[in-house]
Amino acid sequence: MAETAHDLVIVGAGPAGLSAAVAAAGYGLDVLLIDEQQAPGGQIWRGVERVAAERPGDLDLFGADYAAGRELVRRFRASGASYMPGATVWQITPDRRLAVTDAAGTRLVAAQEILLASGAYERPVPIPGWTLPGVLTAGAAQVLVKQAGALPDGQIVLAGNGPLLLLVASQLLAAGVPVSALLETAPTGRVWSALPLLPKAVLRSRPYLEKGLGMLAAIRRAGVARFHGVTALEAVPGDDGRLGAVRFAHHGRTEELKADLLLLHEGVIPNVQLSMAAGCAHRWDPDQLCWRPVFDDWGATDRPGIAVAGDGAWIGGARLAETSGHIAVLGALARLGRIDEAERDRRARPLRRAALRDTAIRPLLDALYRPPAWALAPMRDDVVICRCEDVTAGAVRVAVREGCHDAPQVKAFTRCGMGPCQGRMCAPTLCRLIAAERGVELAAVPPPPPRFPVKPVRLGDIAALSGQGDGPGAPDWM
Amino acid sequence: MGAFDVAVVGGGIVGAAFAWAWARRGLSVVIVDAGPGEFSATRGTFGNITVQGKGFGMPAYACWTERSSQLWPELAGVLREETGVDIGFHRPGFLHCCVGDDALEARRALVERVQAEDSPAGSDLTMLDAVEARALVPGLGPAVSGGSYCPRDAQCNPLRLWRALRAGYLARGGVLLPGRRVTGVRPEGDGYRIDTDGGVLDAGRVLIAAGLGMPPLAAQLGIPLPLYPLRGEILATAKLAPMLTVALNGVRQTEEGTVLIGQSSEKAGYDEGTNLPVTAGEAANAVTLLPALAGARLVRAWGSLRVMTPDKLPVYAEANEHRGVFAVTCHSGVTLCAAHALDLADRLLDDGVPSELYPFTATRFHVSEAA
Repeated sequence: MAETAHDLVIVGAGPAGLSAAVAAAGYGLDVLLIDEQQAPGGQIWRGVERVAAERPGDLDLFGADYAAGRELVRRFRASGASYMPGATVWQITPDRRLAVTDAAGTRLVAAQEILLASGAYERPVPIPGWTLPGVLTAGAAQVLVKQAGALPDGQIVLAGNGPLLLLVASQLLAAGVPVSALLETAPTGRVWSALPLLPKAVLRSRPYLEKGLGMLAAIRRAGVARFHGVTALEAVPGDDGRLGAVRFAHHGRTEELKADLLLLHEGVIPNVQLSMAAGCAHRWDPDQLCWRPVFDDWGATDRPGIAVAGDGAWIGGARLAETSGHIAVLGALARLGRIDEAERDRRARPLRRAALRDTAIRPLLDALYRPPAWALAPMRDDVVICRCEDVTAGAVRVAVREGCHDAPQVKAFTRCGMGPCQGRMCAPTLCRLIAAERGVELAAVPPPPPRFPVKPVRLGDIAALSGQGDGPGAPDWM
Repeated sequence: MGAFDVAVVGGGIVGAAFAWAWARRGLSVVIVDAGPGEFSATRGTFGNITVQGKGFGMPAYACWTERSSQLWPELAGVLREETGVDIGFHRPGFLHCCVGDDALEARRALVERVQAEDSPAGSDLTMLDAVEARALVPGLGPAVSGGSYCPRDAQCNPLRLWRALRAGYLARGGVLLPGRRVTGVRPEGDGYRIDTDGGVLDAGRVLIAAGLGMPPLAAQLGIPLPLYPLRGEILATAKLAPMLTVALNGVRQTEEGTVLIGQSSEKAGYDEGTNLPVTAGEAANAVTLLPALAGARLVRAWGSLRVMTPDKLPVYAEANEHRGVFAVTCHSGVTLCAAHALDLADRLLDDGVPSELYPFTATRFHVSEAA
């Protein structure tokens, strides 16, 4: 077992991870950043170095926030932090060793402190027909454009809720891709319930609001058909078995639009598979409608030496993620005895002011873009909710009626969440269905804990971690 | 919460097998299951129904295992008929592979000793050399020197078995109280009053089948149960094309295509996690037996706590001072399921623990404590 020790190992090279790595290296820590992608940037700045080098004109296409990522990536490259791209962390042991697999093989990396900056992913939106070819998440379409410069064509319909939906719509339009319709699933009148939150948000978050208004204006100028308060959204297959149309209810009428590509989005949730599998405590967040790690002012979880930062801890966006990565490093420095608590607090002060500014908009966004319940758990029994194992909503409901009260037992009875994604895509839906069927709060139904390895690993790679001849013998009780 | 003929504490495979049998007999039955967050050995079962290796040196256990093995086809048939659930029962045999000549000779000596005892554990058990083993299981690795093979060993899908037992139970009018913890059982009239954290219920008889959770309750009723957890890890691969019909020691392919790996035994207290060196050892063992597995993708590994007794044998006990209160636990709830549901359930209620199961009563723990 090849093994090297580091002061700090960071998982994830998005805004939080990069910022933490730059800060940690600046404080003289021996820091290693491990990331699944081949280049730094995470989801938001995916491929930013390559786009800047090969398609500089596209930088504008993705907006100022995207171009801003170049600066942090540049500072990271110059920071002296060790970097392991294209590598997957699939296990964290109680003594803080991380099992990592990359093209060169599998090894254990020892860490005094671990910072999980694993970001967010899009909520599954299991409407009828969501598994048809031609139905993607809005974020997936954005990745295609960022990574490959591959522009979709045909009749494009975007449906859902949230800032990313508007962003993707405006980016597609800026790239010259016509968008036929934008279906907004936020209930009409939502804006009134969000109003009390407005003054605080306006005072502290003007740039965010201006950006949002700018996107809306661009969408309006392009003449995209917009439908507000859409419900009963459904992807309808065409004759070829692919997506053919989008059906929905609007002002009490059923509408149908021809569509070749449907991009769904109902916001993002923290990617908690590593923190959950590592045994960190998690709680239900009733504002963000997701499970997230429990952490203190420094991002530290209840597991010694494991901290979280960025959207993987709490959905706050890229700028807050950067700040939280830096704050988490200060916490680690103090725990490692490199600085005392007074020094830690002093250095954190300006960071906390910045964090406050970037947090202020969140209550408004969370209230404004709260996904409607019907989009997160299908009413119809025939809708597949677990794509890996082909488990329907109806099968889950039957299992609950057969006495399964918790998600792990429904998983055992139905195989829901037993596939390669380990419930990453179905657990939010599964827990909602169970809670609804039992008539209990969402907070009462935690997801099944992900198992190691959190990402699939070749058996040969795991076997390679075994010392010679210490494989299990036949147990004596057989 | 009502009065029942029988209350079953624990709704895992063991408890559900008895409860289903009693509900089929027309009795009113309630299962009280602590549910979420409790140690569930049922979630860690592998699905083997093996005679081979069970009860070497302990013929009573071998005979009881053999009895269950014989009843298994009937159990699978009845469950399918009553619930529509196919629990995937089939009998492809089990090859205990040996790696290296010393291991093969040791296995041969063990098998000869068992056969000399004339125990069911030795019947139909044959030693295969490396060539014969490879003819039976194509793809065995070069390090496999042979092994012992029993064609009567079988498999099923243990989670579907669990589900079928529970579905069959509910269909027969059985009552299931999930998420309830039993805090006490005391005599009341002709039967027993059961205190739970969600109310009180009455039952004529009581079966405690709650695995690692049962010692405190059993102790209240005068049944000593020195149980301890023995952790096993199971690894599951992504679905693969059919490559293995026979079960090997620690490796079997399910009907869905998943290869399950796992035969570890680890004293890890009540920790249900995994231990990377053990996971790696399991993977290495599987790749040694079947080198083609090196390229298979592992999608999850999990730890589960076996319910173990000091002599590694099951427990079938009735409380001395409280007739009609029974305690049953074992580490092979799948293999023994058919005997529990189709044989023992009736006899236990009618006559108490039958004589052939006397070696498994809890009095043996009194003796060992005194010694």
